[in-house]
Amino acid sequence: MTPIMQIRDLSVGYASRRAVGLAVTSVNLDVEKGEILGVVGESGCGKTTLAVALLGLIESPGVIQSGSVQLRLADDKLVDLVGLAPRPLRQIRWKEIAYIPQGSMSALNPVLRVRQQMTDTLVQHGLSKAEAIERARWALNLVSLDAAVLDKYPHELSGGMNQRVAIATAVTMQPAILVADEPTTALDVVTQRSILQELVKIRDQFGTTIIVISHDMGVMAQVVDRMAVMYAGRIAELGLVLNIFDAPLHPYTQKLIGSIPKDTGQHLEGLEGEAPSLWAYPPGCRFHPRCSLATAICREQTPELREIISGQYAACHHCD
Amino acid sequence: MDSFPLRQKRSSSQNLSALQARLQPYLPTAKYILKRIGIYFLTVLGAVTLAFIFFHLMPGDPLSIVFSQLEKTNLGRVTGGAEVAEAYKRLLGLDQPLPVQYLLFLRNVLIGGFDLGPSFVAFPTSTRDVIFRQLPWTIGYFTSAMLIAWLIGTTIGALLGWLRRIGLTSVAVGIATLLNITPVYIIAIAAIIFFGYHLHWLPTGQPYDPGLTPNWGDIEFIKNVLRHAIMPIASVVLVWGASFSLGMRSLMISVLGEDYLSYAKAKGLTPFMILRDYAFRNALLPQVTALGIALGNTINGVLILEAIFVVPGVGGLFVRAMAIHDFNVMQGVVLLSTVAVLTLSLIVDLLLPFLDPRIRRSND
Amino acid sequence: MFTKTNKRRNIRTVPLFIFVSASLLLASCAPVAAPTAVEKEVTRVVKETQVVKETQVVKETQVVKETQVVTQTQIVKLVYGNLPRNETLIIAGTASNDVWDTFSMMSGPLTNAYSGYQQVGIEQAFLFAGGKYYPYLAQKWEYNKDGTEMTLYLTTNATWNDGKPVTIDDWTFTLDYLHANKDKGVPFGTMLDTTKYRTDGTDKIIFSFFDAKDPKKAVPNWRFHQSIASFVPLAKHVWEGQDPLKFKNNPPVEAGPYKLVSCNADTKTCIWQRRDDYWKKDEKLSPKYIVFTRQPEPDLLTQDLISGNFDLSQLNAKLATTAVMPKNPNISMVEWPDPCPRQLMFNMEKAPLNDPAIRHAMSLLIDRERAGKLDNPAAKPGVLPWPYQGDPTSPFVDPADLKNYDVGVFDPAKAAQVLDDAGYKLVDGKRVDQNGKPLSFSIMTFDPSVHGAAVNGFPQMMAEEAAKIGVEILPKVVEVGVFFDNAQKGNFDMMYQWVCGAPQDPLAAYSFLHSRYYKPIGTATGFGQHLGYKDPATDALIEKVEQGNPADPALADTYKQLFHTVTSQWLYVPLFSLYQGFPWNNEYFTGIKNQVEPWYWMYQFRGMLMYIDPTQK
Repeated sequence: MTPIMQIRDLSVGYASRRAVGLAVTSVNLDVEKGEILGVVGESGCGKTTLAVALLGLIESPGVIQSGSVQLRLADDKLVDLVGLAPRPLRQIRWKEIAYIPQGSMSALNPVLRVRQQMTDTLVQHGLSKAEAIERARWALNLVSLDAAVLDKYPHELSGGMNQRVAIATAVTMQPAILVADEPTTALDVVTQRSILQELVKIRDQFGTTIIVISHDMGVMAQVVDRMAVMYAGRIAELGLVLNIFDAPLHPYTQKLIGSIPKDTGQHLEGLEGEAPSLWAYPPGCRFHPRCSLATAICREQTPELREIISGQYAACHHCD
Repeated sequence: MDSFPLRQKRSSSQNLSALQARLQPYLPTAKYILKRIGIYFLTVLGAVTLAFIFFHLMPGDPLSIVFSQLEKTNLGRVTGGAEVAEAYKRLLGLDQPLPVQYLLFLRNVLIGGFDLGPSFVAFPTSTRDVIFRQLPWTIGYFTSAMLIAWLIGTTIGALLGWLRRIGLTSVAVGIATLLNITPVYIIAIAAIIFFGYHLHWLPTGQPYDPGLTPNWGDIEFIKNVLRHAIMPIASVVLVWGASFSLGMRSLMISVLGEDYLSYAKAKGLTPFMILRDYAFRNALLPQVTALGIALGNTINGVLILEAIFVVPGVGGLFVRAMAIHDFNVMQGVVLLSTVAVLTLSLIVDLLLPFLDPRIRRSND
Repeated sequence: MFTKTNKRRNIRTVPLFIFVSASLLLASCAPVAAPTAVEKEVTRVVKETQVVKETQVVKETQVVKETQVVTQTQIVKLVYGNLPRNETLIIAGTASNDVWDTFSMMSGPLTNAYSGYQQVGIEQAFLFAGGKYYPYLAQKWEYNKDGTEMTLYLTTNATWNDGKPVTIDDWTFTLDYLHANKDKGVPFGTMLDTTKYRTDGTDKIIFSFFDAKDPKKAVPNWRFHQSIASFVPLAKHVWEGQDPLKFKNNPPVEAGPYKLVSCNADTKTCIWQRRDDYWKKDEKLSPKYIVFTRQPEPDLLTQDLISGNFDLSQLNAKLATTAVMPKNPNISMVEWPDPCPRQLMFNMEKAPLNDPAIRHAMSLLIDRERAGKLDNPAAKPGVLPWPYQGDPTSPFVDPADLKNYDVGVFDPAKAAQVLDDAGYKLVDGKRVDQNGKPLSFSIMTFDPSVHGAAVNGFPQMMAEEAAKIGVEILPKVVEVGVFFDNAQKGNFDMMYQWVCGAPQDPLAAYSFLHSRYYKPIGTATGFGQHLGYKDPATDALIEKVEQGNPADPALADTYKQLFHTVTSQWLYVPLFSLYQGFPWNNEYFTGIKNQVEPWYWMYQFRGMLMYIDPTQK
């Protein structure tokens, strides 16, 4: 299979007056067509920055330091989203790569009706007003919402409904890729489940590639095919979600999985210490100050992400 | 309606409930409007009462002040002493006990159409006539200038906020900040001396050339009035426009940090659409409230400019009234500007639900 | 490796911004930049000269051009519509006047006349200027021997500006009309309470004076001519049946030399035109038009004077001499003594201000020269409570008093000495009274925009000097209304005041000290003095002056005694004189610079018309 999106050596930073702190450091990632890829990590690990970079939305003081994000279009042409001029970038957005925002309550404009917010981008992409509304109805129907929602304002809808509106808005153009940034945060468990099911449904129905960003391992376990675990701006582990849950390679992944509540009544393993700030990464392996396996090499040498078992990658000196 | 099955049996009530259902979305708005109007009338009543109390508690008996001033300046034409004072007191309604004065005052102001009795400053002309003679100038000069300042300032402020990352705008922001802290009279006097006395481009004071007879049907007269209005209005527009633009700029910048802005961008909307539908519209809301209050405040005039440009406005009237304790006129001006501020904020309050849908539900 | 930000995305809006700001800039500049004709600078040919006529005969185009150049030199500026500048006298006041449509002297204290907008239209019985009475609507007066009757001889050829004659009927109508409306506070309303009149039906009115309590008892009133001089008869055919407080007399029907053209509340400008049918043929009335307008802003008034826009204005002398005169050689100062020299009054009911020594010391602490110069660099401190020129010599003043009681003297060392001698000892740097209480007084003044900078300058200076000798002085600036209120209630220690004695008959400088005006501290209403001064001997002196004939040289001694009373006890002490100079523009009208007599503010402006001549420019 050819990856629909190839991320190569992507580094994204935030510029202060003196330096640039890298929130995403040399990330390499292939996204396969039709898969649901999860990006998981603690808050501040760079996963949202990665999502924003994929959408070409990095704004000052954010800076893309290096790398490329190659998107394969329907005609097999490759487009590098990094460095693309504003106009072609606008055309690619929503048509090729759409976005389900984190906390759609604040992502929807409070003073505009859902109708306008769902259709303005469609009209922008060349649809007529009537077609756009038809498309919006269809999309709402898809996420099990009544078309009456079109005439509502965001504050008149519940959190779950807003999230569905956001999903519906994202699929109106039937994009190749959907980036869902924490799609279930701030929702109750029941709603979370149904929202995730919508995502799976969309993938199954249209073969849409979905990148789900979340800090929640539970979300990963529920929907994701493949999962990338991020720590301090780097990918720590990458592989099929089943394999990782079965046998996590990276000590960080192990700790993460260990912190999931289980029904066995087992004592939860905590993760000691805090994730480093992007202004003061430790040298060598960025996880070593919190790692029980850390040795001298961890303090000096940055471990490369390498394939340990077939299809499962990890960046650790000690997982052989 | 489903919870009232008994009612549904009657067809007329079905129609009624259908009507109710249709009206349902508007009910919160109607409730909101009624509540606002109710608050408005209560506040106006309170303002009238406060004005009365305040000006009647001011130290000094207005009549004796006027008379003694005259006596001391030896221009004394007052020859009758106490009985004259009594006659004037009767004329001005000061001979009644305070509660009666208050009730009469309420009746005259609220029912009698702003009848505040005779003025002292322009005795025997009535206070109402004196104020309403000056009011059109104040509105024409300062309220309109404020409106222009708001329109220009808001537009420029929105652009400055939108283009905040472009270095050139910081020059504009610097200029606006400088204008904002400059007292308006310095700009006014500088403008008069430069454009009026040195270049002779514009007339320097008074609402029109003193030789002219006011005739609003005459285009030449109107042109003359407009030419006289350029400098005062431009001074206000410069200073207030700068302040509005700075306010709008910071509102814009805070709106630009909102999530829905980057979401709109992710949707692939053009910058213009984002500016118009997402940034400007949302930043405008507090700015509209600011306009309401600013407009109301111009009713009592921009005193210093009235003095500099010799404009027959309400502010100057207030000061002259204050000098001789003409509390009829003082009350009138204070009441008028209070009511103006209240009315304009009522209008803004009533307009806001149409601009910001969140307000419609705020008191459900 | 490359750096990439989203800056570029905004660049497309730059042209938009530039376009908007450029159009705004253009919009705001357009009317400014357009050279438009200013109404004031419209010109017209007033008279063609000989040169013009000659060239008109020649029919060559080149010469026609020349004629235009010649006529250009003959043009006269037109002002206020179409008034030729060289025939128009323009007076800029600072008066804050709100009455513009009423030309009644009746409606209480707040009329046009008060602010100086009407006086060229009205005519009085006599005009008092420079210490002389000039006959206008009356020719002369005669008292009988005991001063109980005065005969007034009326002018018979006077006419109202509507063409009707001024008759004795107008006079008697006015006397009765004013008396009938006396409870409305009209001028001369109460005169007939103590005066009867009878006429001969043609040109004589005989006034006789009686006691208010006993109408049968005749009393002398040697000052009746002083008050009747400013009597303004009303036109009976206009005023009959009118309510004096409501009737506006617009257009004004008066007997004065100027007739109203227009008076406008918006522009705060009144224009008067000389009457062609003015009845007093020998009167010198140089300006054809007189314009009263308003420019209260000193910075702009300065510019107006430099540009020669006004002929007379109320710019303070300091600005006029420093900012205007160097730039406009036509401007000179009109100087005259303050008609109401400023005084410091004491609340003599409050201890220790009841001690003359304290008041003496206070007087010695006033640096009058320095304070006066705050307003006028040429100001001289006045020491008499009436206007005078040069030396303070007067038949009503014993020069020894000036010397003995340090009148107008600034001497802080002596002040300390006076306090020492009176027993106010210095304890820990503070002067205390006999009870050990430190000396501390406030001086009440008001907003300097009303009377100039010296008003608030002198208390500051006094406070500095007083601190050096251990006395605390607290300058207290209050709003004008509060000032009068406090003054009336006796709620002050010391206060700024003005006393307007007449040099020929300075009764007003003393009469307020009579105990009949005395009001105890705290009594709020009424007219009177709250200085806490009561003295039967002074009362007797005042009564003697009141009943005496000011023309009688014997009265001078009584006046000297009164001056001695005030100065020897420091009942009030002189501060300085204000308003000693106003700028006058000699470009179109001149002659005023030789005017040395008082012309009492803008109100008595009418009196100075007799001095000014056109420059024929």
